[in-house]
Amino acid sequence: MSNPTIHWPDARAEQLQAARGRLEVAAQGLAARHREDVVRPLGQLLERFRDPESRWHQALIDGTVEQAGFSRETVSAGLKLGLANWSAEALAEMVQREFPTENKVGGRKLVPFPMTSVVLAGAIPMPNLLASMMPLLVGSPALIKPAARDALTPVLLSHCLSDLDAELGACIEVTPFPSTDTACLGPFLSSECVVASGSDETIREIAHQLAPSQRFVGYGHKLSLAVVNANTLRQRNHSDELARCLSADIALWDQLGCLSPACVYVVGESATEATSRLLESLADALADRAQQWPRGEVPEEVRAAIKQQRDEAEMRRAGGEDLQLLHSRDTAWTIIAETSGEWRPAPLHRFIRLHPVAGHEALLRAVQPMAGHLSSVALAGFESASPLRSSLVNGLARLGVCRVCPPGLLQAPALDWPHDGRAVLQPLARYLDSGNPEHGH
Amino acid sequence: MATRNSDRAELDHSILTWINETPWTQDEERFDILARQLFAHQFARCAPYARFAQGRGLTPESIESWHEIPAVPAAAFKEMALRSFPESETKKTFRTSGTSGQKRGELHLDTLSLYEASLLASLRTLLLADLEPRRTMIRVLAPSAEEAPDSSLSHMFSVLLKDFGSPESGFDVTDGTLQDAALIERLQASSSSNEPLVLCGTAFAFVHLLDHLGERKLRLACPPGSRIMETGGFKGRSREVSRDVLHAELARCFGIKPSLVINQYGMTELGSQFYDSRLVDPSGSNRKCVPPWVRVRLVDPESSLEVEPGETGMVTIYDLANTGSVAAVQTADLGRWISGGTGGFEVLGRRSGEEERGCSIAADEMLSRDEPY
Repeated sequence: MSNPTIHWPDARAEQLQAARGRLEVAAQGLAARHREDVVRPLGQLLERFRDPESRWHQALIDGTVEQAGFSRETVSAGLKLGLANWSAEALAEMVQREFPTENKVGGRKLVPFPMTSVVLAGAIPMPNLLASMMPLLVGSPALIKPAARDALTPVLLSHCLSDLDAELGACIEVTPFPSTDTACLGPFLSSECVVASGSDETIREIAHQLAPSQRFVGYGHKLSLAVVNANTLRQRNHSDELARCLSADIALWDQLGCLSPACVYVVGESATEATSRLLESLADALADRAQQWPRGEVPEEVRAAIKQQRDEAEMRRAGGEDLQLLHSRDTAWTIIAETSGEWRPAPLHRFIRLHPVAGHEALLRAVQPMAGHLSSVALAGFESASPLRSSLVNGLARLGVCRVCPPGLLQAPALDWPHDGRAVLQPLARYLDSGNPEHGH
Repeated sequence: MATRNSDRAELDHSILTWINETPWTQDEERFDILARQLFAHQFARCAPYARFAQGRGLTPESIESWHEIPAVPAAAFKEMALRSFPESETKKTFRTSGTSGQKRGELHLDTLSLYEASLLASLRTLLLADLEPRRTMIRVLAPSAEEAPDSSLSHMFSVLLKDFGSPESGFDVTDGTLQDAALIERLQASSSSNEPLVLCGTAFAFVHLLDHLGERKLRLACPPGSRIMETGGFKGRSREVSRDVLHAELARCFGIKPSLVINQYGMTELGSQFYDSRLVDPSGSNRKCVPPWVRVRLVDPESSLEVEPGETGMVTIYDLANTGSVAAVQTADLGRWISGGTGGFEVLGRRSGEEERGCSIAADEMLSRDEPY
């Protein structure tokens, strides 16, 4: 008797098609809404998530702790800082700035995409929260594939929005499926607009599957840095205060976000001595953070990589290099004060190198290999409006840096910060020049 | 010719004697004595290693067993020359793979005798035992030692062919390109023979060959008793394939028994290698066999202590064949004992963890991807 091959219907693919069908229906209602009737509920939603007393905020903490493996203390602190300025008012201002006139920009009519597919990534809720909302703000319903380690944020957003405005909540559908599920991936990526975050490989693979006529907005590999003026570290109390701020940047989200500093550059003629001072202060600060915000779950291979890097530093010192190493007894935190700006492997999870460089030209040379992959820089000790700061910021901007902030605030970008140097909503917008004077200037 | 230090000569002789003994016999006391003598020798002659050990409060006089010998991280071989002999006596230097501009690890040797004895002993015992004394057709999916003079793998394969290969043996990678068409033709021609053959090479070369066979919808039928030995990883090369899937595909596409597809775990920084146990113990759990002159510890990265049976730890290797360098090497690989002590271990694969980090990435991964293959 032969064994027949049975092709079972793919339940997930069917659910995804059903979700697409529901969004097609919801799109009509969305198109008929005034902008204010989208922005207001989404603003209320942000206020709910910002409010530490709200059940939505608590659910976000609980879910992130469970799925992403961060400690509760880290998640609470990260959300408090990250959502501090993500208010209803900030949202309204952002939309107003990008679209001063409802449904028009510069006389051209905004024509929403019928549907926008959003691929989320990472384990940090804030970017996934914003990415899930963005299509609605340009009038397009959102079909969302959640990240493996943050399946909760878009679901919570959908429920919260439905609670505030059921019709608007119906403009979001969350459809989890493995990336290897081609029966789902094809239909998922068939939307007229696709937004994706993830590794460069993921972005390339997604782009490869899209037709040229589809709008694709990809956010690939990024990392951030801290840059410190060596002169600022002459006194211990300054060094301690700076270290306290930097430790927040490093410890929050266990250094795993694109806004986490991968390393610190200390710039100036006395950079080597200044680096030693910063090492001591930062060790104390990271030890404190380890108590205040314990590090979350760490894969075994990362623990092994941290130990390897520590042992390698020890060996390099034995070989005659004048570097310094301070670390916790376990792998909770590690700081290596290097002797040059040369880039070295970074296991993250609160592992940081301090690189002394003689001046800002040396800094820009050291950072050059990362050009195009840089996001934010925490800048410390450079007088605002000084020519030196201006020159440094311009140099970093040419290498792709799109945000500069004081230390301690790397993990607190404004709602409308130019992610990858782009406006937040404009990349998802589509325009029509109808030639109709009514729609003209 | 410079005369090597007599202590070293005596040590080499003792270790070489053990390497050449058959059958393999585990001897804990013998290993401990030789390992501590070797540590004392390397401590006295490799200054960075001595400082490294002293930094941890360890000296040849202070340790009580080989377990306490400090292991250098494998990455240290990229940072400095770890030699226990004068630089002028360097006979051979093997380098880890990498593109120009990248730092490459180096193993410096003042003699190849232990290196070659170790590799031959392991190959003989764990891959070729049932094929001796006849010479076998061995095809290698890697460049020859002439084409890749600083590759320890190519050197190993060259020695293998010299000692075990029939006249039909050879290398199937020339000028950096796998000559897959010619190899397939040769394998097809040999399918009617009763003489087993050996295919060995890098995992990524085998993946390319499998892709080539797949495109042409070809399957081969190697003679009974034929076997495959593959080694190495995939980073930055071909698409990644799990070891289990690779072995199943190799068995299927080459008509070879699954128990005759063997993985080798080794590295440039070491003089010895570890092979799957399948051939010598087909009914037991597959594990990496540890030669008698080598010891493996699995170390917890948090505490640096040895892990309990069944737990995962960093693979740390004590290789007596590394007399000219540093014998104790800590890898960044994770492993688990299959049957404790010297019974055997498995090396665990690594998760990339990329998507978990969203758009951020460990910068070293980013930089290595930006470099050409």
